[in-house]
This record gives sequence, C-alpha cells and structure tokens, in this order.
Amino acid sequence: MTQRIFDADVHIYPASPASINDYMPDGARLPRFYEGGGGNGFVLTRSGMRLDATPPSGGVAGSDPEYVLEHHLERYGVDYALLNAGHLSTIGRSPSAETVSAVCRATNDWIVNEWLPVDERFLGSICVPTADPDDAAQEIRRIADNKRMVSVYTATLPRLLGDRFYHPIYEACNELDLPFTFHVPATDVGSSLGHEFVGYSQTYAEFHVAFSLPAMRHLLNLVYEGTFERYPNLSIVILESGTAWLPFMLWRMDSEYRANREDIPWLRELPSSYVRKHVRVATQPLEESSPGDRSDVAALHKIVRGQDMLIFASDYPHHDFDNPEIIRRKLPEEWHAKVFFENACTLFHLDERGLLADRARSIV
Amino acid sequence: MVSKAATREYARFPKRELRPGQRRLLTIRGREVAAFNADGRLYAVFNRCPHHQAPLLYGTLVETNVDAPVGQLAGRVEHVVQCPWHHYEFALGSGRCLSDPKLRVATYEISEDGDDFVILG
Repeated sequence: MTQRIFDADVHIYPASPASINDYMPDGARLPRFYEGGGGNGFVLTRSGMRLDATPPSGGVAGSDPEYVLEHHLERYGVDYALLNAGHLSTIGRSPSAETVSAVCRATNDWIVNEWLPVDERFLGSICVPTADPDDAAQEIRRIADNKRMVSVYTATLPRLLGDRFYHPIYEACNELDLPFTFHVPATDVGSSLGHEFVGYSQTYAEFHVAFSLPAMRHLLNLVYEGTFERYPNLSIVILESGTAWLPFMLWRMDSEYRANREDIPWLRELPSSYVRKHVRVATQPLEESSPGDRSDVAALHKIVRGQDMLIFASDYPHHDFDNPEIIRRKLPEEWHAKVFFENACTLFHLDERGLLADRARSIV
Repeated sequence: MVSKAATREYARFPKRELRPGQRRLLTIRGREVAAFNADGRLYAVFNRCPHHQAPLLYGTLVETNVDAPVGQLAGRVEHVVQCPWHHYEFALGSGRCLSDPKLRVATYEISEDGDDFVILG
C-alpha cells in the first residue's frame, strides 16, 4: 500500500507584497521591513530556497498554489500539506505589535481565500502575533470556524513558552483543539538573530546548527512551568528544530525533576510523560551521522519510543528540504504509518474535523 | 582492439544546444544526466545529488574557496556545482564532494566531434 503523507511544514509566500496588501485594512501596506527581505541577519551567498522550486510564473518559490501542488504534493504523493506562512519569520519580528497583528490577520485571510480553495490537500495554520497574546487569542477565535485551519502558527516567541504571558493563546488553543505550532527562529521581537540566546553566529553553518537550541529551551520551560497541567488539552508542535535532542531532553528533564521536585510540585507526572502526551516534533531536518546512514537517528529514538512523538515535515520549498523518499529509508518501516501520517492526523484532529478523505480514513 | 564498452556513444547533440554558460538535461540508459558548459569547459554528471536526490541540473556553478588554514581564505577553485537544495559542493571534473570524501556523483566523458558534443562511456 502506498504510504500516506502528511507534510507538517510547507512554506508559502506572497508572490509580491500586493498579495497581502489586498487583505490589509484601509489600504495599509506591508512594512518595508518585509519588502526589503528582512532576512535573518546574514547576507546569504545563495538562496534560502530550493533552486528548482521557482514557479514557471516566475514568482518566489512557494508563491504559486498550482505549482506547489505539482512540484511537491504530486511529485511525492503528499496527501495533506500544512501551509505555514514563510513571511511571518521576518515580519513577525517587527518591533511594531500593531503591524504584526495587522499582517497576521491579512495573512490568514490570504490563506483562506487564495490557497485553501485551490485544493483539498491544503490545510492552513492560523498566524498569530505572539507579542500581543490578547490580539492573538482574538485572531484564533476569528479564524477557528474554518475547519481547514488546523493549527496556530508563529516563528516569533518574545518570551519562553512556559511564561504566563502566553496564557490567552493557550486558553484559545485548549478550548478549540488547535495545536500551537512554533517554528525557528522562535525568538524575540525586534531581533534578527536572537535565537541563539548566548551570542551571535559567525557563519551561516553555525547559525543553522543553532536552530535546535531554542526548541530545547522552550520545551524545558513549557513543561516545568506546568503548562500542561493548566491546559490539559493543549498540544505543542515544534518545527524545523531537528529531533535528535529529544531523548537527551527527556532524560535530563526527568532526572532534574526527580532531584528537584520540591521546586516544581505542580507537576504530577514525569516531564517526559507530558512531552509524550502533548508535544510533537517535526522530523526536518532529520539528523544523519553521514548522508548514507540509514538508521542512526532511529536507534536513538527507539529508546524513547520516538515514533509516537515525531511527525514528518519537508520544509518545502526551502533549501534544506527533507525528501520524504530519503527520510523513509532512515526510519524503520514499522514507524512509517505513524510518523508520515497517523500521528499528524490525530494531532490536528483531521477525523473530527471531517477532513479525512475516505481513502485515508480506512487506514487510520 | 578498443573495447566496445569504452567507446560507446551514449548521447550526441549539436553544440549550439550547450553554449558557454548553458546547461541541459540528457537521458542516458534511463538515467538523467546534467551537462554543463562552464565557460567552454564541458562537464556531464548524474543528475541526482547523492545526499537527497536533488536535481543537480538546477545547481549553481561556482568558484568556491579552497581548503585553507584556520581563519584564512586562501584562494578559489573553479568548476564546482553547488546542489540546488542543501548546497553540497561537487567538483564537476571528478564528481568529488568537497566536504565529504565518501560522497561522489558519477561523471561522464563529454567531448567535441565536429559540430556536435558527444558523451562517451
């Protein structure tokens, strides 16, 4: 049987600022912060996109729905693609909270009107201004009626994820069965490089490896602050942060909890137990000991039953795309159904939302 | 006698279809091959990066930094294709991956024959 695929991280971009401006209030425009590229602080000597992903229409990679369908979903047999607005990685870090809120609203309307109608395989993430959690919660509630907007998305986290600052967002997610999804750089507002916490990278390679660090730091704070005791229906999804750190974090968090329980008496279970129930980690970029390696990262995950916590993501159309045909070789065959499809279907409540196509429902 | 295998002609096309700066896709025995004309130097490589199978036809032809002492940039090496996805670098002549000696992309011999280019096995 062909393996079904849910791709949890497909990035889409406006073909031009005008695509979003059409949805901005009262003729407002996208900030020049975005129009100038925004970037991540590096003058990249090469594109951040796959060079074969430029649509024939000539726009930015990821800006043409029909081409995303043909070039990615059709090519790899992707059944569902979760569309995450790529421009939020830069705009989201604008120091203007008003601007970010307006852009998030416009972007959500753009996704709902310009992308979802194109194909049933497209699902959307609700972009939220995390620097203003009340605004974010309001936006979640505004969009949540659309059953194909299946998660809440940000690439900007001005404080650690366990901070009570975020509670309005978590209340909305908890109430509406919407997983809260965060993507690198997952850092502070107003900074272009703050994702590393301790200092600036000297090279792009260093910057890229450091993508995993904020995920580890946020996860630790999230669990120890008792977020999942407070919001028992909340799920957190970690995108583009790698996976091999997960066993380390589960072991360390449990050890320190055992030794320091009195400081965090509100936890009723081992930290690893909360992660197992409430957190899902996207596979990309799946670590490898060498390009030909077929099982080293799987050996690590086997120890902590990682097959229950991982969901496949490709990061199309970015240059560090994970090819599902290669990722399949690196994970045990008996994990494929869960990691490539079932874990995500459960996480995003596809069946309850009436989104599982008949052909897919039969195997879940 | 020259062995038949060594002289087998796999592909032939007019020179005008691969001018300096151009590249083109060929199919040889069912395998995609990317041919490059890098300022008059001709190269042909298997059109799949050995890492994640990206089509090297879309790669960037670069002059890249040579191996150098710590903290120094010591010169350039020409005729390298950078993978269009993860940016792995391959020397077009040898197929050698510059960052990992265990990785290599298959290369094909390409030469001129009158008004044509031919790829030989």
